[in-house]
Amino acid sequence: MFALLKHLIMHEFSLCQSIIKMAEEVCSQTQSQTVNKVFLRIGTQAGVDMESLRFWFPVACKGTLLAHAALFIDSVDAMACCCECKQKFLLQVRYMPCPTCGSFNRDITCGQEMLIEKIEVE
Amino acid sequence: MCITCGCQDHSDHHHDHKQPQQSIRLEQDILKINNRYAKANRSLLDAKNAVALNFVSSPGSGKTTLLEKTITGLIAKSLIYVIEGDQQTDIDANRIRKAGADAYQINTGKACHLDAHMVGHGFEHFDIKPNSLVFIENVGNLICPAMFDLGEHYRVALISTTEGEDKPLKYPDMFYHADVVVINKVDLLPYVDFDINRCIENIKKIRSKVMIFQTSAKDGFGINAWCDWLGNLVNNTNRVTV
Repeated sequence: MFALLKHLIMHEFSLCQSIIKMAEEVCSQTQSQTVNKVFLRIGTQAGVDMESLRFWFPVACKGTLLAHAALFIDSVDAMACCCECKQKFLLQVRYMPCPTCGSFNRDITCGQEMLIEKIEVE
Repeated sequence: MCITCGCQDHSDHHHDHKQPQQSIRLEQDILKINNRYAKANRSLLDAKNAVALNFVSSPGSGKTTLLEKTITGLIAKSLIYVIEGDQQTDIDANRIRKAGADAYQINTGKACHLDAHMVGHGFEHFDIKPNSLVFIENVGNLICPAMFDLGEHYRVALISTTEGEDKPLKYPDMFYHADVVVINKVDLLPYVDFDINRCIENIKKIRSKVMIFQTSAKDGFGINAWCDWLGNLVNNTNRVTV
């Protein structure tokens, strides 16, 4: 697994590093020694590969306060609202049109978020 | 005081003195730190009335050649600063300097994208003058740069005619976040199976309101219109007097 570090590090690794930094900032503020659990909320249209994130998380966490942290990811389905007919629909793929009127003029109303929902520390 | 039993002295008893677990709700964007740097970058640029553009594409689409031609077209009217991002080498920064603009090369090593922290440090190498243009040429990659705000005002995605008109559908995140798309290498249209109208349709399936330019950075087609648009970006903002 660690041999993969010789290869290109994709953005999921960068995201893990960001999660670690934010969690360690909270630990510093709360005088906590360890992060036990990390809960993320990630939309299906956030541009994040969940499996890649799960893969890189323990690798990135080695030697940090999150070295033994368990990762939980709540996946949020993407929804869109058609700007023409105002229909709301499940956005399964980015390039799908409004299923009611066929327009591609739509706003994505949710499913692009990448949040740290909460962490458990001690 | 022991928070388990309230005692001060443990000589007569023992129990586990582990700190209790705390659940701390954050509800914070994972990219909060990057976005903080991006906001700082944008503030720095706004204070100088400088306009920044983040150029993204797959490797080999012609970003550097487009920037060279742009610099030639605009350098008489506008100061231009360029941040170049590549895994290795300073080849592109050298090309930009030869074209007449100030350039700083960032080598990302194993990282596949620039981030706002890197770009902020890049800005430190320039004395950015008011009413100037700042170009950030990102690492050639159609996936990872999509999610990292660098502090730019405009995101420009390039696609070349040698790549296939279905690229926008295959890499939707990149094109969704692009304010401008430049279809480059149009001089090769007679020689490649690239349906430019289908490409434009596909771009608009991902992002219906987007500005599209068609260029050949090699022979100059479309460069005047592109440079006119860029020149107006600086002219239209409130000029800062030094």
